[in-house]
Amino acid sequence: MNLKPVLLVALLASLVLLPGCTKPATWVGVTPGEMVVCDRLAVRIDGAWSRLEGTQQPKHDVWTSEGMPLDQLHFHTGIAEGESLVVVKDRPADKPIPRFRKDMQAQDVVEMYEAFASRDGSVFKLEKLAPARFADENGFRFEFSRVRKGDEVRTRGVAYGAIHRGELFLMVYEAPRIHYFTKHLPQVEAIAQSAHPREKG
Amino acid sequence: MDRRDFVETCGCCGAMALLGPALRAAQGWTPPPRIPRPSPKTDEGGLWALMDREEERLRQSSFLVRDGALSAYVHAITCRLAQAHCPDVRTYVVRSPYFNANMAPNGMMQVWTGLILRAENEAQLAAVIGHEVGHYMARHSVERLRDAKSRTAFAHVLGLVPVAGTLAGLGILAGAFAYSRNHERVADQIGLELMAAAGYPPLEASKVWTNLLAELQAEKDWTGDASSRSLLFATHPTEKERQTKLEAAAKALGQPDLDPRAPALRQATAPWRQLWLEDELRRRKFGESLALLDRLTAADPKDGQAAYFLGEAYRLRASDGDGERALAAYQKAAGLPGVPPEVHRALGVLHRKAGRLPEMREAFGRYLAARPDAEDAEMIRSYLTEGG
Repeated sequence: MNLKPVLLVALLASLVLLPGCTKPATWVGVTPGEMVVCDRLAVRIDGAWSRLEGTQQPKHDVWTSEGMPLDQLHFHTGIAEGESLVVVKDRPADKPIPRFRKDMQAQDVVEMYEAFASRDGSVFKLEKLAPARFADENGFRFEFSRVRKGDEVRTRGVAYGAIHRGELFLMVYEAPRIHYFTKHLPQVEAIAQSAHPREKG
Repeated sequence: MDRRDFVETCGCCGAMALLGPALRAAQGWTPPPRIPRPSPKTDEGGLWALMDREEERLRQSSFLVRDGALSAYVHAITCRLAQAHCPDVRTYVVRSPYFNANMAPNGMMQVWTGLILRAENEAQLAAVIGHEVGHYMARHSVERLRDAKSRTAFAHVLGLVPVAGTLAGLGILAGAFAYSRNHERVADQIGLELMAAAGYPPLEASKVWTNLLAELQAEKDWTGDASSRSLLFATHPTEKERQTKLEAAAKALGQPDLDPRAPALRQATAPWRQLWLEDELRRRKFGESLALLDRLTAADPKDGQAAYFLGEAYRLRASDGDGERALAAYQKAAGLPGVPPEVHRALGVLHRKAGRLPEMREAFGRYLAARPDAEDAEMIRSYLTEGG
């Protein structure tokens, strides 16, 4: 064994985080009030959130309140047939990334997210799945727990999803189950209730 | 590639190496006496102290399988093989769906659940454990430590471990003990000798390898180029030769009529098998998973659990024709003993997508009857009100 694989890991990790970027992504404060996420999902924000800018992910936005990796709020907006939740370049053929299909049911979307959340070996467990209004649609809400492989932190998560005119809108909040999850949950629920899709410009 | 991928490529992976001169050299081999704890003033003692700390971390890990009965069962196999060394080896079952096992110089041995899932019988599990015990008895890690090149790499690895401080870090550490080919040969042969002495048929060792090769080939056939990334193809380019030589070595040892103890393994792992099969599919290595599930369903055509997961593998792969294959597998599984209630949910989902509402209601009804408090029960109940 030598150091090469280690360096390769670091290099690839940075490429995965910032595909195509020439400058590093930065955290930018979000102004409370109305805003449109990725030009596709209008939400009302109350509280202090920061969003990661410069990720080159046109349909995926990442927010945090306490700072990563403590809590994270992901928006996947307008995912179309055949697209994955995030843009992944040069995915090895033996590790296919699941892609959205218009005929997916709630369980299928949960599984697609699970593949995303457990791709590093983290343990994902669905705790609850139920119908819910989201993005002006009869969508669904699910809760999950996860043990992150990297640091073995136990987290909890809640997500809202809906398929609107053949496109998937998914909002996922995750934070350590101790303290942080419940701290921001009311704000997250309010954001979910305020969400309305915007048609493509 | 991430840290996990790196970990997967480390360690000796429970692998068994090419036999050759080692086979003849090890004929008449007798186990060494117990290994005393080295003085902390020596390099070996320092290594043991480090491993002791890592072992403490492993004990706290969320990925450690805390099932007394299962741990006792696997440790009993270790003891049958390790004989007098039994008190010096601790066996940890670790939840990870990959084929792997490793042994630290202080006697801390990890056996991953993906390996146990793949063993067809107790003898095959013993083959891998015996190989790891072989490394321990021969103190290969100390030889590696004293090899200058390894020592440099090892020092770098140590720099990483405190950052992780977790199972992932432990895996990297285990990788520092990547053994030489000669060490693998010797461990292979010791493993075979230990198997025979413990009453296991040594020929089962080569079958482990045969099955693994079949999975890797299936993955290669499915993806086109898996071989370039497979840890085994990458690090052991002559695995076919190795399998052949293991088989020949085992035949030389004789004892083909010994009981491989298939029911004992099945019984010990039964409470965990569903979770491990779920973990297996999360790897999204569908070529390998389908080869495994084809093997399980062929070995026991009345195994409802394996039949259900075969359907799941097709459904998740979602290639051309996989929908029909999944449906056929589910329908077959639904009539078999041991099938999980989730098969009815899976059938319900397929019926719903196809607009077969009466069949959907019947399937979902059976699922809810078996699992009224299921995590997705509320969602499923909402489907039952569809279509009037």
